Amino acid sequence: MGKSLNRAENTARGGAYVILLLMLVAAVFPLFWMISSALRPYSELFTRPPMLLPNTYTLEWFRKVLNYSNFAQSLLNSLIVALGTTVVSVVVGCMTAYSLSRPKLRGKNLFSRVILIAYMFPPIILVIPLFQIICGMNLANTHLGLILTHITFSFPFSAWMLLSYFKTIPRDIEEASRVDGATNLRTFVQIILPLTAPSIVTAATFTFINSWNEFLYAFVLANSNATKTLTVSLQAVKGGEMMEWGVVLAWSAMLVIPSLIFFACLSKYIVAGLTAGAVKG
Amino acid sequence: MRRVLSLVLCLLLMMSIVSVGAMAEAKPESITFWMGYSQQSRVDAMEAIGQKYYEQTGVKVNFEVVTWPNTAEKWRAAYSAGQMPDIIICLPDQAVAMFVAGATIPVDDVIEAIGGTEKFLDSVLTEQFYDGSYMAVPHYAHDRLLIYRKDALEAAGQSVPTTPEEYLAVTKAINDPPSYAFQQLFNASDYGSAFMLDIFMRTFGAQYFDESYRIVFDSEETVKAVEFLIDMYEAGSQPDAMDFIINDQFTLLNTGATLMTLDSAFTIKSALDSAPEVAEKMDVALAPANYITTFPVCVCDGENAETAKDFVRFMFEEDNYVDFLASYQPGMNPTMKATAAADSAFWKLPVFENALALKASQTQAEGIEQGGYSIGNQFGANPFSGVLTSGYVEEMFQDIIVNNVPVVDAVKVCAERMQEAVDEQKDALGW
Amino acid sequence: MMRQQKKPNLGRSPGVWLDDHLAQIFLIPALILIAGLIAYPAALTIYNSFTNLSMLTMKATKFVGFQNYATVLGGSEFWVSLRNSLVFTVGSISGQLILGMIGALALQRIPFGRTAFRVGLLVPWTFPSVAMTFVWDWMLDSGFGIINFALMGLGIIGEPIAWFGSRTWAMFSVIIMNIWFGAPFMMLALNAGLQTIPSDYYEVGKIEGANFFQRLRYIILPSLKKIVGVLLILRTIWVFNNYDFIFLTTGGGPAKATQTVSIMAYFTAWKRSAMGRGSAITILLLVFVAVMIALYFKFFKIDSEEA
Repeated sequence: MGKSLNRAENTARGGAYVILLLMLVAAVFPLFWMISSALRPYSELFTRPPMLLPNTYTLEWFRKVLNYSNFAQSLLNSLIVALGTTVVSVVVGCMTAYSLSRPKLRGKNLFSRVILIAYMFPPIILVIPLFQIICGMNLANTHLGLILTHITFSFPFSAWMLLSYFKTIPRDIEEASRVDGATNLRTFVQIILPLTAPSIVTAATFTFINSWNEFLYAFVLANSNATKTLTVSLQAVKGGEMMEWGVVLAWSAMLVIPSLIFFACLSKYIVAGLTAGAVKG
Repeated sequence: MRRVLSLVLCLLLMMSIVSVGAMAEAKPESITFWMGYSQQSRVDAMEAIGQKYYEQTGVKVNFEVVTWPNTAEKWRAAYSAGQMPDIIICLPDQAVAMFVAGATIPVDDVIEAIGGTEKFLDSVLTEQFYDGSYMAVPHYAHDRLLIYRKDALEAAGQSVPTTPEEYLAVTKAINDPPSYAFQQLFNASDYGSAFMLDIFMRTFGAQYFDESYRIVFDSEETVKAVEFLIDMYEAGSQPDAMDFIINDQFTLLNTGATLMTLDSAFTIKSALDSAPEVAEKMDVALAPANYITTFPVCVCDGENAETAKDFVRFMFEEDNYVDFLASYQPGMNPTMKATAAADSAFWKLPVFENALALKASQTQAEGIEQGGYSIGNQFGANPFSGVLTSGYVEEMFQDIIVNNVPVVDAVKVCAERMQEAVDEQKDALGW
Repeated sequence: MMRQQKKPNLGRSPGVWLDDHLAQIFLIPALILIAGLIAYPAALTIYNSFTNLSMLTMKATKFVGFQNYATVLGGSEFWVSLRNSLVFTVGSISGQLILGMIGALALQRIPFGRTAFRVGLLVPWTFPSVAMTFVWDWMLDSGFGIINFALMGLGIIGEPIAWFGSRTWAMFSVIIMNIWFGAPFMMLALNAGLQTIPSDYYEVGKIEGANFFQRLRYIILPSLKKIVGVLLILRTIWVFNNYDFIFLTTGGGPAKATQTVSIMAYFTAWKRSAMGRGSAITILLLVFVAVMIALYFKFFKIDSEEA
């Protein structure tokens, strides 16, 4: 490796930048186009050819969405369900990960496998019986009912992700704590949990986002205004009485932007989470 | 231990007092109302009526928007979970399904309270009557009209079509991509083609059902009607566009992507609001057959049924009724004789100062007077019309166009599939 | 700094026993959740598949044995749907993998800006399915979609194409959309994997004078074998069973050109109200998933403690 970069290296780098830029444009264009369309009045939505940027900017679609009779309620519903799912999945996930990372626990390999299999169960397979069960328990159209269905995919994922992290906690730290006379419980709470905090944040992040974005279970089980989530409400706009593109695009934008901000702020954890899932275990 | 026991006893005592008190309170504090009206103005109008009711009686009405296509699936989940609302406004075939399942109750007494069946236009009550009683009260009605661009017809020297041959001729004459003459609605997740076909089937003398609700779709007349619609597609639709749904119509009309279509006067309302320059060039006429849809108000079987019935009666008091109708015109025509009469407050609404709005509403009224029915309800309300709007017809059209299946075969297969579905329904209902 | 070994001063009270068995106790909630929310529904759906459960009544009135399976497997709709599922899956996964690989390699190459690209390229993945499908519907609209105008402007096509509405292009369009959505995930995971390849491997490659493609073949791909395998299996399961994307764009049309097995299951259960038959279809899906899971466990022994 001389001080000057050779030509091949430079072209390779240039090529890489070009490729990445092209991909970036492709990745970001739909986002840009969605927002640009949502900011223009009806008369400019359907021009031939379409204009990349609006001539007049308007917030009327966004205002219409906010005034939609159930937007605020849907937002609240999505929040409640996502939070509830996250809390349960992460708490039980931590407990499970702790147990399965104990060296001498009997049946832990089997249980780890069970968790992984549970994670791989696609929602479409469970949706019919869960629908039956939740209706049978009188929990249809309740937050709790929907939370229960979300747990079916959130908890296994959470447990699995946390487990791979919990396994990396060195034995000696725990031993030292035992030697000091702490109970297992105290060791768990005061030593292990703080050490695994980054993975807990990651698991919570993923669980929240997956629950927030979820559609199928919410579509099937949450239909009253009191429980409809944002995704279901947005889909209903399409099934409404006229195809209001402006409203649909503005609503989509309002769903995506918080998700984006969330991702950007927590990107460190998200990248870690994605890779933890892929590389470890 | 004794302290705990006495505490528990006190608690039980308190709880029993509270529950007895609650039971003694016969009137509910609130009732739940599901409706498919999603436009803000209609929601506001309903809420205003609810507010008036609250001021009069102290009962709150909680409105929830449940879109038409979703109601069919959602009421079942609600019913199994014991969470039905108190009042539902839905589509006619959904009303029957709920009534047959016992989720809703007869409303003969409500109609009496409103003033009796003579208060309603004749044609609007047939779809509400089933198995000896009235399942629902018709809130409003609309008719599918021919919506057309008079400038396009003039430019091609065409007059308004009335027969299928004329429709085809006009379509060919004015088709001018990207302004297509008459876009078809072939998306299988909706029933756009089922109703378009229905209107022309009646002209050709074909039927979906016979009186005993056997599918008689497979007939020569149907084949002619289907071939006609295929010709219309080839002459006036964007090639390959198999995914238009009914509520794309508004965009299609407002942007000139279609120059003619069959739909209700709601399209005029949308054009007047969103694309006035296009609205100026639009006009309406009666369709070859009157496809009239009424919107049933059903009362659910529950502890609040009496209050619910009272609220329904309240909705039909003249002032409240006109207030509601005013919230979205043209498009909603009155089902009550007094309101439909030429001298009523309805026709004096400011919206009718616009000539097109007035004409659209009047044309709908004409069609409703003449009488007609919506798909499958030729012999009255029945639990099977829903089968016809489940996408079989759209799938048939797609098979013909995309897979080149001969029309005769496709019609046969469609009829068989619909018959299967009807049989399954009959089986499940113990028919 | 030796302390005396202290034991918690609780004697033989229940507290000690609970604490000693903390690991087992902590597993109880997980057991309950899995048993109640996953195992039981799975068993229930197997049972349902042998009945005539209807959504109209939410009750099964008779036990029909293998009738549902016979009807489903005997009709052509299932096989058409299965073919579509396979086309959708293979098309999407290949596209995601290839693009992901290209992106991962490119990311590896550049000296700065990596984080910015990572965040930007992750945008598709943040879209909820509803929002993504609507935006793509808007972009690919037959009358007003910007893609049509762009392609016509570039002279690639002469007339607007009805992307989601046309038999020829519907499957292609949903695959492209799915690739757009899933490639970022692949890219990041592969990139993370690339970063674990020890740099000495590259050194050896350089010393031996290997060019890019040789490096790819002999160093990179073998090292990534495990990650690629894991990714492939997980993503395949997910894509094969995906319901949202197709339901929200084409609804399985036109003429069932994009109807996958999961969509067929949903329609059978909710549109045709035949939940028993719908359950049978999902059990068939389950068979596929089971095969994939078995493959996973065969190739990647996760129960051993290997990193």
